[in-house]
Amino acid sequence: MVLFASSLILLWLFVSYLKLQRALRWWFQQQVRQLLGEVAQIQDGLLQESFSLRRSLELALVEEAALTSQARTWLEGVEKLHHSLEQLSDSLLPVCLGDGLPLAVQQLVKAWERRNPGLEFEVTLPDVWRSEPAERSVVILRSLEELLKMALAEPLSQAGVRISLSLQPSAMRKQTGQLAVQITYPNLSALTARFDAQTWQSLQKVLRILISGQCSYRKQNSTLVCELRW
Amino acid sequence: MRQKPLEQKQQKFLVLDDHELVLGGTTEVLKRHYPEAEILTAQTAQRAQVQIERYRPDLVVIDLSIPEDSSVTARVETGLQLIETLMESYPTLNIVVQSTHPRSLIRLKHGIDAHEGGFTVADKNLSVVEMIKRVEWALQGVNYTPQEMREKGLEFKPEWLEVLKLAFAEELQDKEIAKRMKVVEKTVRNYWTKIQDTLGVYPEPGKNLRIQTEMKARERGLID
Repeated sequence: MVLFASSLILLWLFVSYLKLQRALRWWFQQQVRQLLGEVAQIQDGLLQESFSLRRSLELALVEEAALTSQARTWLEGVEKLHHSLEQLSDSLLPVCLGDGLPLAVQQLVKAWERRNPGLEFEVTLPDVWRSEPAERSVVILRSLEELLKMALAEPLSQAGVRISLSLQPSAMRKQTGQLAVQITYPNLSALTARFDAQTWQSLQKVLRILISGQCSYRKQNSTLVCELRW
Repeated sequence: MRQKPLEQKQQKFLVLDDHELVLGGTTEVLKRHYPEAEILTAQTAQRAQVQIERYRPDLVVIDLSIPEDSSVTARVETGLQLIETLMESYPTLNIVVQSTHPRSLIRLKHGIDAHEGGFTVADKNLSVVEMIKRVEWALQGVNYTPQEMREKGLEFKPEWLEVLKLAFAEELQDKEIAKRMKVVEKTVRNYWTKIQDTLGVYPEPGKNLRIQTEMKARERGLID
């Protein structure tokens, strides 16, 4: 009787977990769709308008010599606006997400490189990538971003970062996506100070719940190796 | 397709963009810089194809996010597909891609590598001067592609390396290189534009393009 009741409770917990997972995935999917819509509005609306505004000003600048100084100020303002809109669009969701995860990873790493000139990045990306739902790519990208935020938290003047994205063969003729991140610190204490078990556990849960993915890590001397699979 | 003297043939440009204001701005800029040229416009992929078939323009300025026809919304895929079709149907057509997200062109990398006409990219954040520079380069048959397409290692084709070797190690001119490689001279010129784009070498006033290319190729260890 006790065994039967325990089995029922376990089954109930399992079903509840699946329902919760489905609800969270739906919620996340809606969020990503909304963001995609907002990015499209910026790209196809606001950026186009700022482009035509800029062209009108540039043409006026050539025509009206008396307006030159004022028009130049306006022109600089429009340039700033265009740049800010591009940044806003990229911060919502990278536009290149539709062009495949490898390009999106490359863009993310380039941004890190620009902000951290002391760190050495090495990226290996495949030429061909499978078609993937946008929300899955978003989870991987955001996970990589959080992983780098944790592992490369300042102050860190030097470290070597190797990032590799690949497709690995798996059962049923399917392929598993794999993102490997290897960070070599100048010493062991730099690694220990940055690795946060709580952040790592959160990442594990997010990957499992949202995309049925997994992640693991290992420490080798002063090197941290993390792998995300989905 | 090389730029022909104005007295011989009136240049024809086609500008394709679904935003009327963008279309107007781009057309106006081109009119001012090429007053003798005939500027055609289109707002959909279908209309552009009809115009190109009918008028055979020297240059096409194309946005990536365009609608197939007026009944559907603009999509990057439509622009990419149109460019792919144009490169197949008109291998010497000069193309300028003017877009807010030109990085998507990475999907057409192989087609662009094989294209024989000029192919340049003008991000919509560029000034008029820079945009006109891209138009000029395209008319000269130059290739200028997004950085992302050139970054993933130096993907040098064997024939490009052969051109470098024959030009800089054996000091041969294009005509002789063509003979040795058993191709026409135009193909050798096309190889040069691909090599220069991969190395990030572009025309600059007062600078010798071949010397710049040689320096970059030696820097990257492509030739001894």
